[in-house]
Amino acid sequence: MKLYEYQVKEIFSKYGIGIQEGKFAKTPQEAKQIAENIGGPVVLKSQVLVGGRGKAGGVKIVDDLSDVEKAADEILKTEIKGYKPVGILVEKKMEIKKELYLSIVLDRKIKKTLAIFSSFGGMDIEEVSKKHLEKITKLYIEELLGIQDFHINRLLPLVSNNKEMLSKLGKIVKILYTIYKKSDAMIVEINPLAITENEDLVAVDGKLEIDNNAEYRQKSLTDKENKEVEDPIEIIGKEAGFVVIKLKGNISIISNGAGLALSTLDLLDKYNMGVANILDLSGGATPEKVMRAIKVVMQDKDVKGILFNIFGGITRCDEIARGIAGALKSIPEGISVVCRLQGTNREEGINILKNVNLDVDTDLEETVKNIVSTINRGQRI
Amino acid sequence: MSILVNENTKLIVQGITGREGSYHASLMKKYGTKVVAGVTPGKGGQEIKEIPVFNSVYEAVKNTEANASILFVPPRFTKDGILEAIDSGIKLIVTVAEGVPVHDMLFAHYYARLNNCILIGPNTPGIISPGKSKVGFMSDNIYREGNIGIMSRSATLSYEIVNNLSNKGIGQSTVVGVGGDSIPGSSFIDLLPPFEEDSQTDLIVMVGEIGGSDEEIAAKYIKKYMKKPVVAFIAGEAAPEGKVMGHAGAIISPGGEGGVKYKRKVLEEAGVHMIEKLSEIADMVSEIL
Repeated sequence: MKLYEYQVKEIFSKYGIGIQEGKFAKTPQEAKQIAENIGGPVVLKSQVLVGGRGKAGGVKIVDDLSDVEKAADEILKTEIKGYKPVGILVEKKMEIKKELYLSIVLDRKIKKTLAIFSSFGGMDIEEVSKKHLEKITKLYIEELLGIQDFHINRLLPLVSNNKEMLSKLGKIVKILYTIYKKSDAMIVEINPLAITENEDLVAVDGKLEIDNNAEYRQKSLTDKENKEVEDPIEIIGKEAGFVVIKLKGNISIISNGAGLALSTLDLLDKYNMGVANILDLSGGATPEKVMRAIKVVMQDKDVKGILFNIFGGITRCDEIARGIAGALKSIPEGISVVCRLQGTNREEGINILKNVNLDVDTDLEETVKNIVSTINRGQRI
Repeated sequence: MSILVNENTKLIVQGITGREGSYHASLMKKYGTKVVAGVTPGKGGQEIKEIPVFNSVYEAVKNTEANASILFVPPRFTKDGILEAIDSGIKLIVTVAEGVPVHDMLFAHYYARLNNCILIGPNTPGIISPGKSKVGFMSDNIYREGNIGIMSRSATLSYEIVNNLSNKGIGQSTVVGVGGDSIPGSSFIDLLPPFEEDSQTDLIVMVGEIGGSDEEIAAKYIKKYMKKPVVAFIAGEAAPEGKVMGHAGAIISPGGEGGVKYKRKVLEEAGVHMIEKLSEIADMVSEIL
């Protein structure tokens, strides 16, 4: 889960990383109030979870405080790459001498934590690495070792051998590593990290993404309103206890494993058939759970057909079949339903569905062909 | 032979008094696995399906000389359970839970390494050496003993591959689920050397999917060191960028990193035989062997 800049800065501030004076506003009136409290000139920054907001009109510098309300109103109305801002961060404008870059990120390729520092901040680090590789230092941090002073010393050349600056920077690197570990972050980034006129270091922008698996122990961070990037059907699914993935197309895949669903998607794609959504029942689904799953995917208006792909292991095909049979009446006639059952209790499952006039395949490709041929005719097989 | 587990595996079930733990302990025992002990703190002294329960892994090991452990423990207690098993001298640990925090696994992965312990999972159905031992929750009736080694990120896709092979009379030496998470305890590269050394295994099937670089890293190793043939399948060709496709680890980064095309290309260049559909596996294997 990604956090908004204003939330990230609250964390930075709590742990002792310098930030500009400022506050989060939800309305133009609130923004004006905050601006008057901190004094101008101010910077208004759109709070969205995607990058590139500067170019899209999401950041405005306002010198005259009587213009704040209007500028804030414009920012709140401006969507960034299709995302509506949740509010505005109002901050005191600051003179910046130089911009740096600092991030701590989990590199899953090598299963290591990587601290990335660049004396060239403010732009996308991918761009910097293409154009100014010599201005980047990467520190590989061993999990069982954590960050040490010798790591920090390696940054000395990039701060022009300025020992005083290195000590300030080192402190921030260590704090950032603490934040990374304490908040179960996949990435925490300061870009730019500004050197002010007084040679202080200030985090001008911040990013933090939390490991979804650790949300349960990051309640103070994750209880916030950061859900709007998810599709409504994904949220409905989550509330019903399923992982639902919204895609583009008309078929709903209900399966008992992520890999199985993924290969079903691939096969449908080979037949030029788009997928509306994927729902993973995961292991050991009961008939009630199957009925609940059908209820969820039927709320996706794109769905014209449902394809069940079940390979029973812990999951028993007869239980799945009972769920499908029970929910069949609630599915409109125009929606095709096809099933592929394989594995544990397959024969029992097939018989249960035969009783409600639903044919079952055991071969996946046949099932896919079936839904492709029936979906346009809007008939149930 | 076979790899990781065999008739000499003496297994502890951590979390044996739980619903899943007790159910699968009995199924593993029924299959022939030597399930020597269970562990649930506070429930020591009980018996579950005639398996003695201990309060700690340490006690269980001391009393039974167990050499492997499987955890049927919720994600939030998984790290502690793994570390306890490592500290008690266990050298093979399987953890099935889905949803273990990444930072927990990162620490567990390196602590296991430090202690020469092989950690499999999380988010895995486990390991089975057909006819010898099963350390996991897979439905064992589809497996047959034979000469194909299988490693898979997806549980259900490993069932598909096994079912296709067994139906054509082709058996398996060992089937390992490396799991669907982004930081697995062991990756494909860790399993290639034991499969190469194993006298029962004649061919290895690698079932990969989008996300990460485990297939690419394996490709490098295969090209350099593997003499046995390797067949691979990669799921997720039609997946869009930037979406987690069910498994935490199955995501194509914006920009296309972790996509199927690149993985396929790298594997083909390493001499790996690629199949495009799961149903092609038996024919491909027969053709090579």
